[in-house]
Amino acid sequence: MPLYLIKRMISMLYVLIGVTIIVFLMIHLIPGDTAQTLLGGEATKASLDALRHKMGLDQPLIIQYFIWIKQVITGNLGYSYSLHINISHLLFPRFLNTLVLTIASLLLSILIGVGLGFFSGLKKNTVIDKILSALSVFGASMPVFWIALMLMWLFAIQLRLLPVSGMYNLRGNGGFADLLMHLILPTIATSLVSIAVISQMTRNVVSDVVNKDYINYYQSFGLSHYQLNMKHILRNSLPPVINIIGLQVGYILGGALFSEIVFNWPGVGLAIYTAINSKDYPMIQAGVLFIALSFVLVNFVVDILNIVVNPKLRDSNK
Amino acid sequence: MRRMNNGSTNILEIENLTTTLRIPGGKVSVVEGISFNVKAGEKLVIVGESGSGKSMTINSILQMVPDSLIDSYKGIIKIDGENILEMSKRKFKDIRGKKISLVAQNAMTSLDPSYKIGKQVMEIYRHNHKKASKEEAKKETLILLDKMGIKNPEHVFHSYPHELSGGLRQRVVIAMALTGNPKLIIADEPTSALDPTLQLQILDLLNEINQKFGTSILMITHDFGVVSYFADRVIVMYAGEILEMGTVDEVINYPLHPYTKGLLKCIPDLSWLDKEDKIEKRKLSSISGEVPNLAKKLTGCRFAPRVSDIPEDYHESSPKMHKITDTHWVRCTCYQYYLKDSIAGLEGVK
Repeated sequence: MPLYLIKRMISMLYVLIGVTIIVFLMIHLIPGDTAQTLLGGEATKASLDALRHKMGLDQPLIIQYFIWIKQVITGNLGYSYSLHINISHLLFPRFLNTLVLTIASLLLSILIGVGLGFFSGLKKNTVIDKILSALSVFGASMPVFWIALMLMWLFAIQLRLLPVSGMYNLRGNGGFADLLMHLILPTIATSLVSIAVISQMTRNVVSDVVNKDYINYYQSFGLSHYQLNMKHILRNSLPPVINIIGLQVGYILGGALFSEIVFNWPGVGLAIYTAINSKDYPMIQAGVLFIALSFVLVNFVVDILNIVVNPKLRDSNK
Repeated sequence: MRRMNNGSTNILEIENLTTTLRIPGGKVSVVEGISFNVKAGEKLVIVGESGSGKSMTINSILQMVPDSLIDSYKGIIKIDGENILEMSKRKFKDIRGKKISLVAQNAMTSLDPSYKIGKQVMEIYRHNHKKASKEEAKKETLILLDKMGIKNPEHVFHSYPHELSGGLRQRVVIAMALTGNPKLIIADEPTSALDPTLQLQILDLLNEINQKFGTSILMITHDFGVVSYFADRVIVMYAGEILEMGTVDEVINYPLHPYTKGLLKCIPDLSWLDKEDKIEKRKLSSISGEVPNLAKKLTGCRFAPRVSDIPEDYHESSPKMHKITDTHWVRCTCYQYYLKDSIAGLEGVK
């Protein structure tokens, strides 16, 4: 097990290096001259060269990469040319806000997705299962930004039950209850698709496990439904469901960016969005790096969880 | 401590059991009007091809036909004197595991892959003995595993199912079935998934359990080798009905029903190895035709379509069980066709 952890960490390192290279190149391969964009069309050649030198753009690409990566490792994400502040100072708190929204959405999707999927898997081909399946196809096909707008229109504007946007009431004292109220709509918007996907997958896995010989055998001893469902069916459905949830984290992170923009949630997504509008490349780069790193990290955690819940995997990785 | 096999106590009594399933477009009786008993300490084997209704018979006894399929059970299934068909579900749950338990067919897939063996056996033990503490359950589990002829119980206790061989897993499955000290074990083809050397070991183990604890065993199989090695009594099933029933000696040495005879002929015979005329002897025989479709209404002798050489008037229009000896019964009068020339043969049976 510890050996596996080390192996997995090493392979994660490769992925991380790959991610940074892609994020780095992504920005540098975009057509257009950064210095020119920043200074405008009327800038003199001398001032352009001076800025290029200051930003290190006159260095070969590979040197630029290493300079950048050295900065990233030391926690320096560069300087935002549109907001004129150090990006790390802006992005770290923003990242925490994104984390709040992502974790809330993830919890909601796991709770409802696995719950509903488990229920319909046990009741496969009954009316209730068919209704739930139809609903989940419906849910899975809706784009996040559209759901977000519809939720906002219905609950915030028509019914006036929940705040329209933001993270805290600006005139309130900003307590936990206030945060929760602001969190509800973006969370629902972000997690709806994942709920649908997770519940569909869980349903398929559970309806498969239900027909396994060992479930049948345990049933023959007259175990209670609760014991059978929780201890044996749910437990054996976990490995594939955890994989699906792991993949959905990526989707939720992506969905959270949309929700942040629609609901004006002060997270990384909103930061990237404003950065894109003002062509603030270092900022975009840092934001994308944050998102990509979280995804890699989540996949690492999912892999470890899988080893924990699946004894067969544990052995093959000894 | 073996209970006396005096024939007076029946652990299982089945009278006129008919199990009907719902299928698209109608109903089908997969078990029709079967009656038999399992006495205390007895080893009864039901033999038949796929589709003969032998699995449905044990599923009916254990009430394990899925709710989505079952239409109705008719007749009487008495376990230790109590009719389970008139019993509340809750009460029947108490009987499962304690009075009757199942030894699953496929040991490779009948253990939960996510838990260690010890945990699984302990779970069933504590289900059957609600008051048992964890330590007690562990102790009993280790003793039970040891009794199953497992060499290193402590090691098996801490292993996952995938770490064990098929034979060991089958022993664990049998141990689980024995946790509640049942009076009757129902074994669903316990050896079909094992290779021949292991088959014998498992049959010996079941024999030993029968001898030591006096547990009655009802086994289903399609293998006459298992029947002749293991059974006290045999039931031959075909298309949901019992065709012949008797002691192992009666059924194997003096088979009466043409179906039983056919089945016995189908057993591969290795005596050709010593014969001169090897090619001729190596041929295997089979019963022509196939098991009838139960969804269609069946009348008369269900085996008649597959024995075209027997004239129709030898079959009964509604075949009954005929008593040959106190223990030997056979359905339909068609068996007499083969005996018509040799009264002596009939005398021999009696």
